[in-house]
Amino acid sequence: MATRRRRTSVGRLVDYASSFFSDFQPEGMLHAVLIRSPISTGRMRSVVHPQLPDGYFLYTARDIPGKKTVSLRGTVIPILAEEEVSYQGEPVGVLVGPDPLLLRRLAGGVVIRFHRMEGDGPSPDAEEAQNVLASRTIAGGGDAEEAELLFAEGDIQVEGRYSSNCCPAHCREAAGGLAVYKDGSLVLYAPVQWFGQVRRFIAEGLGIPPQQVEIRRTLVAGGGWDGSSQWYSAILSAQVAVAAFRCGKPVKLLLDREEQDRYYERPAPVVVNYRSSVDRDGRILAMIAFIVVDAGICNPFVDEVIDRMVVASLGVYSPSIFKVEAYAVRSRKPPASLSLQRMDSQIFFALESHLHEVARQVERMPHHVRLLNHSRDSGIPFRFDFAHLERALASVVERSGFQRKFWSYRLCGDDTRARPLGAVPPLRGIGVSCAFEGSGFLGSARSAADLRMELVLEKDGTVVIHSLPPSPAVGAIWTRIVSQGLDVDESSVRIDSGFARGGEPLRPAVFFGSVGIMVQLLRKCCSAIQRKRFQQALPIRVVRGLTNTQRRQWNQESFSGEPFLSTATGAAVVEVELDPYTYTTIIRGVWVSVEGGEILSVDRATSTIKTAVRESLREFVSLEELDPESISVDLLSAGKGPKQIGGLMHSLLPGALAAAISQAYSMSVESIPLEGGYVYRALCPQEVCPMPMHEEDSE
Amino acid sequence: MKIPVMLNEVLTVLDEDPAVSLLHVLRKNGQLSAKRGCSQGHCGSCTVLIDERAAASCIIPLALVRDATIVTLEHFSKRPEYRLIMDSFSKAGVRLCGYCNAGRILATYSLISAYGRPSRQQVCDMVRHLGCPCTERDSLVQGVMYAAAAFQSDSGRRRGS
Repeated sequence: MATRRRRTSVGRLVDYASSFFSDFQPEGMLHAVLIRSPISTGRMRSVVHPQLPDGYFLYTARDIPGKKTVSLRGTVIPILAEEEVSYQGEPVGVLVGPDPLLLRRLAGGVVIRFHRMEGDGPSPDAEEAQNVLASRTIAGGGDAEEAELLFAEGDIQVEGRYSSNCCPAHCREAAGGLAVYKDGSLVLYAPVQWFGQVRRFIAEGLGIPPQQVEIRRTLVAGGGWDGSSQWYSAILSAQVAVAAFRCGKPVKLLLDREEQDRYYERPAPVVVNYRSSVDRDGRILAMIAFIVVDAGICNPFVDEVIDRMVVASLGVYSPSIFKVEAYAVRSRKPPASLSLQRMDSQIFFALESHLHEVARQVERMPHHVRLLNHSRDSGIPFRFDFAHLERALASVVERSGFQRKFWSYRLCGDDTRARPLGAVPPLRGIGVSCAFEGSGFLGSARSAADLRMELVLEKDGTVVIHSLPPSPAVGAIWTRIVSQGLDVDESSVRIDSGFARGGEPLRPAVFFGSVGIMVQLLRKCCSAIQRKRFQQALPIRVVRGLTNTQRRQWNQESFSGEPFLSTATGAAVVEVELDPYTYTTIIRGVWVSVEGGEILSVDRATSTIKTAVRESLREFVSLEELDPESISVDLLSAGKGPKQIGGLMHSLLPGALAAAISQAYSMSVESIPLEGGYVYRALCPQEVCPMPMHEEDSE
Repeated sequence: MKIPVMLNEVLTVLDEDPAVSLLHVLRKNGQLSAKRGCSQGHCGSCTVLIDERAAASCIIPLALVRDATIVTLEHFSKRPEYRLIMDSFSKAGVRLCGYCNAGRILATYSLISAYGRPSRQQVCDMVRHLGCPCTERDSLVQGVMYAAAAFQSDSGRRRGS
């Protein structure tokens, strides 16, 4: 097998390959496809397959030699469904064979017979307690009843229901893995995120000691969506391991694109209902938010996702009194791909759209309404450092000419709405939004406790950073920091990502990806080594993690305090224009201002932001490419230590773009992604095009 | 069905179902630089040169490439043009993720072959259709512009010698 190991070390159970697993083609390798349940609920009677050619095998739950289920954070998940199926598409078998095309045809002939059960299982409804996987309710400035009362008595009541179902761009290698079982040991080649769980699942499934499972992490490329890859890849690994164990040959499982979209990266639909009572200036007196997430059949991280959504639900604002209820509901669908990094972006879209509606109803400038509601008072249980938000907002407003354009487009819009189709002058709109990105969520106590950085000054003067592999950009930053901190040449610093038995991180890799926190820890390591350097014999090994004070910043029981170790804030303006020839939207410009703490590399930070802007816009409209010709980035450097900023664009852009499109076409964008043809539907007169401007969500 | 092609300058007879994608056949024959990305011809990960033009092999049925000249990135990387493109990308700070390299590099070559010194707008149009979000677009546009300049000066040097 053509693998080049970056490092070799006896006894290492985690190592790295320099290729993608889909490129591995060892001698005698078989391909695998998953046989999936065609129905969402039922008790299986039998799995019947046509006569299989020589060299083709079908394995079901009965062929799993060890434990048939895996347990993760209290969620029990079958490796392959044994008797009952819980959702449509649930894997019930693995079909393996040498020809992947024939394999797909054979899979189509496999018949699963069921004893049909009554009904079609629970539907997503937050009011049915048995369907709620996780929930959180908070109130501030008074109790929940007071919030309702104040809302009812407010001068102006603003209400909006916002839904989002965004999914990432599909360009990456599909999920799967290659398993090789030989002489009682299993080697897995896969882009795994969570080494400890993968090893445990495979060992338990095969009934072999964990020491007999070796993991070679393969390359990961094409963006940073961390949804299902954190944990569902471990289930896929267990499935392919069972097949390799049974047939005694290398087996590769590679999902096809449709499977990947439907079962692995199924976006989690989020519906948010905001109700606010505001005074005539636009100050929010009471805000009530109701959040429902369809999590699919299960998700081990759903409680943390809900907590993070609740933390994001007030955004950077401070209503006098508020109530937030959030529910993750179970449905008979595949596990939703919930990204811990990105789920709160759907809340920001809803909140910022709601703020635009508030501004529209009180006839104030959208950024003035944001500033008016920005200041924090004691009623908010979450503490953030938003000191530079006003600067960021002022920067984007000034650079984009927001005030002038907003009123101009509004006046033009009023004028053009009366004109017939075909006589519309250039239609333009502009929108603004504010958001934050927290990294190092302290609500998940275990993950915070696991955060640590190890640095070793070797006898030969080289310095080794022992960590999961960072991105090239972050790796370069780490190298520079160590080089400066210990006064060594950058060529003497290397990153070692191998792990010995028992030494691998207990959490998914995404927990360790925060540039802000890990740089803080790295600097602490450098200081510690400097202090010992000339007093202690080499090698010097230093490990630093979070301090107790940092962990105590957040109180999970009272759900209050500082939820994140660091928080970056930002503001964005998006300006759009109708292309009168194609009836599509042209983005005239994007202005972004980000307070990202200490900016270690302006070029890299700018590049990260621009890439994220384009990625975020592409997710916004499913069928059209929104490609801004110009993206203006203003980095506000403040304080010591860098902050995580990559995900901030996904929280900022949807709200600003929705507001811009709403203004340009005099429509209200309450649901994302927008469906193709939305411009035509918005502008077409009712008598020509009797379609509704907004399709009601089918529930 | 037997379909003859010139694959990486070697006459090869591909004996496959004519309806399967060219990508599937290439990968089966060990040409792994073409990767399966979006499977819809958008992302560029599966790009190969067909008769010197960049094409998405995931949406091209094998039957359509009968007698065509196909070049994959494995073979293209032995040509001097590859080095010019990679040097230009490096100069512009383009970092490739490894999965979409074929799309980035072969599309650049194809564009420069077609237009010589393409305009910035032409480069932007090309880059827009490469969906992998790994690379910052402005850097990539700059990298392609550098590559076009490098191709021109290289051909000038060769003419001069």
